[in-house]
Amino acid sequence: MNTTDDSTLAMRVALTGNTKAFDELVRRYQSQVRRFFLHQTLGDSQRSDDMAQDTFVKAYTAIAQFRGRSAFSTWLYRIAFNVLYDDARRRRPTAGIDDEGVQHRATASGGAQTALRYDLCKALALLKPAERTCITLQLIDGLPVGEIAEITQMPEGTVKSHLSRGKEKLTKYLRQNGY
Amino acid sequence: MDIKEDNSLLAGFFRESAQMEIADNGFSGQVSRRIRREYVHRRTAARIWTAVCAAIAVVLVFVCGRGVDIRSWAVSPVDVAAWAVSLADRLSVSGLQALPPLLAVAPLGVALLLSAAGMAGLVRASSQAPDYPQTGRSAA
Repeated sequence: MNTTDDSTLAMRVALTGNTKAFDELVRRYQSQVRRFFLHQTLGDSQRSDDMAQDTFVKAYTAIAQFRGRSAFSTWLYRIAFNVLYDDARRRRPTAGIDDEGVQHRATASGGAQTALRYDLCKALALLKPAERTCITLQLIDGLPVGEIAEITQMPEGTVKSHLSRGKEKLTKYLRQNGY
Repeated sequence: MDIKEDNSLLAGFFRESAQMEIADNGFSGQVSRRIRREYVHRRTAARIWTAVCAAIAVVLVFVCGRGVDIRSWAVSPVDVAAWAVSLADRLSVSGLQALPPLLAVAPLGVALLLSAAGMAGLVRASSQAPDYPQTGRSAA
């Protein structure tokens, strides 16, 4: 029944500020965007939701810049990536994600639906932020290298390097842990 | 061979994450409320501000035009329009750029209204202006 495509909804928002059309876009993409942040923050659901909210608010204010040349989801991921980058820049460099933090978040039972598996968090924690972003965009969201390059504004060669190094680290970890 | 095995291992490891659906649980509502709080109210304020600017512009043109020979001013309607567009630009830069484009056009509406009001004032003053004394050369 839901036939209105993303571009049409985005155009309605851009031309008339139609918040109902934007609500529909939020409902369609909230899961994807929150999942993206959940993996980048290694399961910190509160921080993920804050960043996801910032992403949608930024998307609303910048929706006139969406030209429909790429998919709406790609454009939204691009904003999400910028939000993540800004958040990482604001945070202290020493406030990294340590093993203890991973364990605490992964075992927190409150948000069982949004909690990540401990082993997954631990594996993702081995990766550098750029590697983690590329890996999750490819292996979880199923995006091709070209689209990941568009989202992260990295050359395709750099994305491939991050993917290769990330996969190498992950497979090594998985094999060492009996997978 | 190894690469194929590695890829299949990783695909299996991330399969659950790839299928993970996060329930809304009020998230959309929070976003919607935040947008209304931060932007829709601001847009209403911007509209009121535009209307006030337009009203002030119209009043000023008619008050200043009364009893004054606008033809003697060094300012033409083109200058008024240029000034108004510049004002509109400043308004856009100062706070309306975050709004959808039609709303950002509101200050431009003020600019056009200012220009129209300036023209109306000029026409009105022209029709009421007394005759000027002839210059020496034309009198001769």
